[in-house]
Amino acid sequence: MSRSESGSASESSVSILVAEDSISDRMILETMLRRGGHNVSSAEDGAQAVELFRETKPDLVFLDVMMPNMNGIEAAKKIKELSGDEFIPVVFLTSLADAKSLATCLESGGDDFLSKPFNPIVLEAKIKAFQRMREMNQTMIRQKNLIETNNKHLLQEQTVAKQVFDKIAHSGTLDLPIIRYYMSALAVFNGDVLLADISPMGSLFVILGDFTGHGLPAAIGSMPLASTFHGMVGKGFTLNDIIREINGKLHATLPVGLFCCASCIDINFSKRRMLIWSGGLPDGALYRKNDQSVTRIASKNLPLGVLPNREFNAEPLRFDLEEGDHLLLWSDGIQEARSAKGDMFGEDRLNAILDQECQACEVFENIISSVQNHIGEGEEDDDLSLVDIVFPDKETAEEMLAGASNSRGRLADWKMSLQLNASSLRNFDPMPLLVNITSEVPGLRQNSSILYTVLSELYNNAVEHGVLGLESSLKASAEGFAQYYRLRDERLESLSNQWVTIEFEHQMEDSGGLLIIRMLDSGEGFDATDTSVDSQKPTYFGRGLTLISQMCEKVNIIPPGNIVEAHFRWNFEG
Amino acid sequence: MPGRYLDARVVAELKELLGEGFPLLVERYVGDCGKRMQRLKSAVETSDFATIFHESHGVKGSSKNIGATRLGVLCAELEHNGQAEVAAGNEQLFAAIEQEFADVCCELENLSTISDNSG
Amino acid sequence: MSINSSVSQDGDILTISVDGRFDASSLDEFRNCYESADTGKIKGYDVDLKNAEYLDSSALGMLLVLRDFAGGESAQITISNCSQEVKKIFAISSFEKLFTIQ
Repeated sequence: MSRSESGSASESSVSILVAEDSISDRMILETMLRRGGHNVSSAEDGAQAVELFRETKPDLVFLDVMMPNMNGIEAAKKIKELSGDEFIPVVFLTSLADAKSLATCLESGGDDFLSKPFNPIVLEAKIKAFQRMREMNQTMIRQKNLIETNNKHLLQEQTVAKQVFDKIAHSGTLDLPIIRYYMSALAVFNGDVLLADISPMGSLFVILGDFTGHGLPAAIGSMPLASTFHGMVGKGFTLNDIIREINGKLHATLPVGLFCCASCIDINFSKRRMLIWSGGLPDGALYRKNDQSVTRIASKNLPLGVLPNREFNAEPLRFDLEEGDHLLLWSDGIQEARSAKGDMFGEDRLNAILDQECQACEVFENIISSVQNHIGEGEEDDDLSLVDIVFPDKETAEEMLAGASNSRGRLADWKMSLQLNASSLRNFDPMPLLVNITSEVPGLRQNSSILYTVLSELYNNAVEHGVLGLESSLKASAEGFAQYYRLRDERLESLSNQWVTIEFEHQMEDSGGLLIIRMLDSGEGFDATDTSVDSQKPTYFGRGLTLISQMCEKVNIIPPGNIVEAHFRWNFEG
Repeated sequence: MPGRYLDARVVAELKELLGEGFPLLVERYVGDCGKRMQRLKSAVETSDFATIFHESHGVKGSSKNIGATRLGVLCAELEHNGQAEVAAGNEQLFAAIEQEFADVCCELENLSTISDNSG
Repeated sequence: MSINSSVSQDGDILTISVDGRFDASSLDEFRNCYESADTGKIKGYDVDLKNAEYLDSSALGMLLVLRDFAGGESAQITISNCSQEVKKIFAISSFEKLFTIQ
C-alpha cells in the first residue's frame, strides 16, 4: 500500500468524545472535528461524558474542565480508570491559565490542553500526535500480552517438564539412610543433578553433576545423563563403563560449551571399597572415622562431555572404606555462594570447616549452616549442592541391598543364533550388530575391542575359507594379498545357497561370565593343522587362529572343520 | 462590515467552517451566555465567588471562541476576582461586561442576518 | 571409517592415520596411501592408530605388506598411539620384532 493511500480519511478517522457544557463551544469543536473526518459523540456534562465513554469506547476524549454534574477533573479520573491498560488520551479544553489548575488537570490523568479559541490546525496536529502515540501504545500492549501469554505458557510447560525432570534427575535411592544431601536451585530447573542407585552386584552408585549454566539449558543435559546412569547401574555395568557411556552421550548431544562437572562413585559394601571418578567438581573430602583424618579427593579429569570417548579417561581411583567413614561431595555453588555484599564464601572458609575438629557426621550440617549464614540476605547465584555418604555397618548395608530389586533387565544367561544367507553374506557386515549384542552384557562391554577381533577372525575364517573356499597361501606375496581380497569380492557375488551361522551362549558366573561363540558354515571344512608361522619370514596370513586361541580360554575346531567353537571367559573388576 | 467588538478573522473562519450553521451558532452563543450573564449578575450582587469564577470562566471561553476577544479579557478579570475572592470593583466590571456582551450580541446578530441574506 | 595420509615437512615420514575399523575393508585405501606417495624421498612410515577402534588379522597382513613394500628388514615403520587391546594383539603376533610399537 502506498503512502498516499495510507493517509486517506477513513484510516486517519478517529472516534472522539467531546464533553463541553457551553453549547456554542461544543458546536464549534464538533464541526471542526467532523470536518477533519472524525466520528464525534458529545456530552454536556461530566456524568454524561463518562456514560458515553462506556458506550462508545472512543479513541480520544476532549473534556471541558468546568462542567456541571461532575467536573472534567473527576470525569477524567473515571475515564482513565475505565481505559485500563489501553492508552486513551484525555485533552482538557480550558482557558485556565494558572499553574495550579493546570497541575490539577495533569494529576487527574489529563494528557494535554487545548485552549480557546479553538484552532483547527492545532487541533488536527494534536489528534495526529495522539494517534501515533496510541498506535505505539497498542503495539506495546499487544507485545506485553503476547509476552504474558508466552510466559504463562512457558511456566505451564516448565511445571510439567519439572515433574518429569524431578522423576529423572533426583531419582533412584536418594532416600537411603546413608545419604544426606542438600540441593538448591535458581530456577524451576536445576543445573545440578544428584542420582543414586544400587547395582545388582551390591554396589551403591552415586553421581553428582553440575552442568554449565542454569535452568532449562543446564537441565536438558540431565536427561541423557540420568537415563544412562539408571539404565546401566541397573544392568550391573562398571563405573568405568557408565562414566564412559555418559561422557560419549553428552559429548555427542550437548552443544560446545555445555558440559557436566561430575563425580561418580561406586561403593561396594562387601568389598568395603569405593571407586571414584571425578572430573571438574571441587575436591571432595573423605573423613576417616578411625583416625579422624581428612583426605581430599582431587578431580583428575576434564568434565563429562568435553572429550570424545577415544581421548576420555574413565579410570577411577580406589579407596578402602570402613564403617563410619564419610564422603562429602559438593558443587562449586558452595564456594561461589555470595553474601549480600557480593563477597564469595570461598575456598578458605570451606577449608576452615573441613579442618575444624569435629565428628565427621557434623560436617554436612556445618557447611550448610555456614553457607546459609554467609549468603544471609544475598541471593544464590549458582546451583548449590552438597552430598554426604557414610559407609554403613553390615546390618544397614544388608537392609539396603535387600530393599533394592536385584536384577533389572540385565542380559545375564542367554543364547542366540544368527544365520546369514548368501545375500546377507554379500551385503551385510554383522560385526557392529554382534558387538552391540555382546556389549549388553556388563563385563563384555569392557572387552568389546578384544571380542571384536575374536568375532572378526572367526567370521572371516568361516566366510573366506569355509564358504568361499579361498586359500590362505594366496596371500604369500603382496600381489597375492590384494588378489586374495579381489577374489573374495568376486566369489561373494556368485554365492547362491551358502550360509554362516553365528551362535552365542552366555552364562553368568560368580566372578564374571563365559561367552561361547560357535561359528558354523556351509563349507566342506578345512585342515586346521596348516597354520604354522614361519619365523624366518613373516607371512601375510595364518595369524587368525593364533590370535583367537591367545584371547580365548579354549578354541575347538570340530571336524571336518566347518564348526569352530571359542570360549571367551571374562571377570568382574577387582 | 468590520466590527468594533469582534475579531474579524475569527468570525470569517467560523463562517467558513459552519456555513449555514453560523446563525445557529450565534443563537446558541447568545442564548447560552445570556443565561450565564443572568447568573453572573446575581452572583456579583451577593459576592458568590464560586459562581462568579465559574460563570465568568464560561463566558470567557465561549466569547474567545466566537471572536469576542475584548469581552474575553474583561471576563478573565472577573474570573480572577472570583477565584481570588475579591469583591472590590466587581459591580463596575460586571457593568462593563454587560455592556460589551450587548454590543457583541448586536454585532453578531447583524453578521448573522447579513450572512443569511448573502447565503 | 577412513584412512588418511600426510607427509612430514621435510618429506621423510609418511603418516597413515586409520579412523574406525582397520580390517580387509580398508585394504585399497590403505595401499593407495603408500603406493601413491613419492617413495623416492620417504625414509620411514608412521601408522597412527589413535582413532582406530578395532583391528583384525587382515590388518596385520596389510601392515606386513607395507613392511615389505618399505624394504622388509630395513623398513622403518612405527605403529603409534596403540590402545592396550591393540598392543595385546601385536604382542600375540610378535609384531614388536617387526615394527616399532608405541
